[in-house]
Amino acid sequence: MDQAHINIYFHPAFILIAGAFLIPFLNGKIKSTYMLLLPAVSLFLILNISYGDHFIINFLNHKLILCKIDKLSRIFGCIFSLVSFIATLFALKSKDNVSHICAFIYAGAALGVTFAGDFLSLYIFWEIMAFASAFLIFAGKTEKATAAGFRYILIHILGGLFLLAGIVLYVNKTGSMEIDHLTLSSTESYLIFLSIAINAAICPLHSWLSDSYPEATATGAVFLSAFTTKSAVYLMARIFAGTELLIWLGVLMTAIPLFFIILENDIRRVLAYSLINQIGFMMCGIGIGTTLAINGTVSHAFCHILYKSLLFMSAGAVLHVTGKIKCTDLGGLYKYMPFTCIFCIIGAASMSAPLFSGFISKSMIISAAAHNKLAFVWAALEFASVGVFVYAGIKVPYFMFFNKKSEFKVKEAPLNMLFAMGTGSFLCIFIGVFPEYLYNMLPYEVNYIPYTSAHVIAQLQLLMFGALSFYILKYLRYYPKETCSINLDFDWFYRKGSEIFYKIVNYSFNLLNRICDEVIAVKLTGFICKTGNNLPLKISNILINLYGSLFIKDKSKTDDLKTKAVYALKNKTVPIGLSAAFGTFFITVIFFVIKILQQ
Amino acid sequence: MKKNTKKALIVFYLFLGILLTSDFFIKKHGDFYWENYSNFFAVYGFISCILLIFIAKIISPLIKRDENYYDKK
Repeated sequence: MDQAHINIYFHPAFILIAGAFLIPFLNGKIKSTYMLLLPAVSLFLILNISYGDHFIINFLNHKLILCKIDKLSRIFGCIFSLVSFIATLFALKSKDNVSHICAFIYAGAALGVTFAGDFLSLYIFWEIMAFASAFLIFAGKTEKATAAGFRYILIHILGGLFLLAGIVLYVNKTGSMEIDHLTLSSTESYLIFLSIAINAAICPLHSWLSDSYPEATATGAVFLSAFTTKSAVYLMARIFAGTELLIWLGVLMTAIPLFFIILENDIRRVLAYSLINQIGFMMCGIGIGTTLAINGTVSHAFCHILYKSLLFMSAGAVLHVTGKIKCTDLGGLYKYMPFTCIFCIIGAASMSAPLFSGFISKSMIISAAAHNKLAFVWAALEFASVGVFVYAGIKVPYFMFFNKKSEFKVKEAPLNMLFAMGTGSFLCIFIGVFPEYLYNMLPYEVNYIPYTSAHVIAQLQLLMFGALSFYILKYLRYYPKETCSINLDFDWFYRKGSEIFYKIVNYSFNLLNRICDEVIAVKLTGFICKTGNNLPLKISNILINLYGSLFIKDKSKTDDLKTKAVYALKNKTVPIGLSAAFGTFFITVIFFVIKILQQ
Repeated sequence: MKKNTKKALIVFYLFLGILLTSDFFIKKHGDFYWENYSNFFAVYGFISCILLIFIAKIISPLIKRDENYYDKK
């Protein structure tokens, strides 16, 4: 290790990853304090490490930079450790130690990805992240969760392989492992882009997210909502900023999930789709690539992590208390869970309402599109903005806490969950009211003023009249009814596709198997067996006939010889000399055949 | 309960009214010319959401399936 570069002694990622293994040995209050302390310490470290490269390891003539701190990586590191603190507080009472450990390793690996300065350490943390997060889905412990977890891990292994292939080609070409800005032109850049795109849930590679996150535990989903996609956003911003393709993929990502949000019955799946929609905004920002757009993307990732985890926490609290999470099962819970209800509404409002966090971040991206005169992108983003606010922001609290009389008489969520949601809510409002604290942390200097009267009124009009249409459509009974059903997404192609593939393979290979069995095992072997049995007799008959016609010329004597031969062959009493003579003859023939062939 | 809903609705309508009227008194300097039309965003928000539901209703029979769709063998 290069001593000159070390001025910190603990890597923030290692604190979480190594610290996780102590958890099962602790109990009670010590365990709770310890678990909260880990992310707090890593947050403290991230805020205090100086800019530059730390933890440099020389490896096979390459420099591995485990901790590269600049403005971009620091703000992502901050929000990752901040949200792990909140999510840990939310999950504090869970007795599942495996989930705790995996959650910490997952969060630590996300920090590792964020601070990695070279592709190799990035790849290692990337894979750790994929595996640790899969266990949070398995922890759902239902048959569906297990299946979804396996699909999740398969997709991420595929993504990891793309990344590895891209890295190998990149290092081979440039001779450097350092993470640098790439343009989409060569094979390696496409491979790296593809692997990040899978993790960022870019449409049509998004279905792993809506498939797996809703199957995780109430607490696991909070962790999941924060790290995988946002670390991919970070990498996109670092490596592919200004790639125009991302603008259009981003627009697609904001639009497609809206329809699923409307039709979906599972609350956490609604949240998963709205997560994809919000990442669409970030992808647009990265694609536009101006300083305002990148600032907007980073700040939106920051705010989004906070309010999306808040929404997942409120849904998780409802799931924890009632055991149900579908629109058709829930409703009217505001009487029994008033605090959770308020926190949920704050999380929903934080998507884009003024005085909440999303307003001051998302509008930067939309303004960046407008400044660049991207009229269609601007219109699509405003469209998606109101769409997701009305159909996720209103739908989620409405169907959980209002809509109809509650079927459950339940108690409010446990205190630690309320504290976690309270912290998230406080931060959402704080950032919304005092945006300058967040703006000061952004990678570029901010000259953006979110609170102009024109902007506030425009945004309020957009949202409130969207809400009005929701009310009118509900009143006219035109709004699609919530039913116990699922919606087909792109995962259909591999879920049904694999079934069809299995059937085709099953049919074709088993057909081949049957044909081989019929031809080789039954017919060919039978033929060889039969000829093997009959051939000596036939040969001896031919020879005897030949011998008889040449030398004996007496038919009865010849027949007598034949009977003797049949008897000898049947009872295996052929004279040894004769067998040996035949053997020698046979070998001689083969010898000459080979000789001839060789020439 | 119903009284509360009614009250909330009245507040909501009042708020919408305030939003519509206040728009006339605001100086605007949007990047696109249509942003400067009065109450453009109200109309855009309202139409967007109705359009969304309209399209969602059209595609719903294409993608909506029984809950056990994937479990059936």
